[in-house]
Amino acid sequence: MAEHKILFSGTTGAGKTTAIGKVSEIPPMSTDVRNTDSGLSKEMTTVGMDYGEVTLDGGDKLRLYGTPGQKRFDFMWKILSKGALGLIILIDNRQPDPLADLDMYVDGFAQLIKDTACVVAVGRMETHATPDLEQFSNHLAARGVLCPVLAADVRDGAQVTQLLELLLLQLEMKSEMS
Amino acid sequence: MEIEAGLQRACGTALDELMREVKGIKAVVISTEDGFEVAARVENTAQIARLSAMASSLAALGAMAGEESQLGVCHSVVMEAADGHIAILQVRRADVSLIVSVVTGRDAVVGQVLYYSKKAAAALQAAF
Repeated sequence: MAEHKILFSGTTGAGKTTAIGKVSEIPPMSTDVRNTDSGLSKEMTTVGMDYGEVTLDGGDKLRLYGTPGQKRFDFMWKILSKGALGLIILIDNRQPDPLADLDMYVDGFAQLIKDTACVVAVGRMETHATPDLEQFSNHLAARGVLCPVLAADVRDGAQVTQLLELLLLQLEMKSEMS
Repeated sequence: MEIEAGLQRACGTALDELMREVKGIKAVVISTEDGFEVAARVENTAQIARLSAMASSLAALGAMAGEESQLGVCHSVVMEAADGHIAILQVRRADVSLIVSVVTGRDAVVGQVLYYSKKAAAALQAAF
């Protein structure tokens, strides 16, 4: 059976470590350390990578990698992008400028998004409704990036699985079109 | 995060001793475990932020590799490159964990680099 590498990136605190932990069949590996950045209201932060594995119904295995969210760790974005089949970007809508956050990851992963597929998942929309999904989609379209944008709570493993399935669907469609 | 004045002074002392005792050092940076610079001795200041972040990732990956391989706690990560070495050491403290990164040229003696780096890490661990 095939093995595929899927990358999770996005806003610090959006739930990349949580998402991988929720669906991984093995104990997830993480490189979380104590956060000393007072600008972030979280106790721990990922500085290397997260790793987990999940097997699909057909037997294919997905290797899930999570990146650090902060721009100062963008060297890890490049390292982890190598060989990835697709990207899931998690955006935290509680942040002051979620569209600017999205831009940072779209820029940082431009080549991966161009070569493979991408799904954008926006969290905390139930309490922070703007920007709405249409604004996210229009923003991406204005940049020439076409990928699905949906609301998701990654604390729910079923929703993480849906994101993975949607990403794989995107990849299938892309390969059929090419 | 604010680093206590006593610890900040200890960082400066540790850096000075490393620079004095070890020949061939190009840069020494002490950073928090999540990659923020605390103190440094290096000519190219643009390099400090980058080295702090990379050392944070490498130390965390080293710790993960040590645990996954059932080798216990990772004390240091040493890299050999074409033109020198990088040693990264963990300083585990109750208040803030730190990382000492030492970048050397080919002329440095690795054993000496490690000896004095570990000595600096131990001093920082005990500092208050």
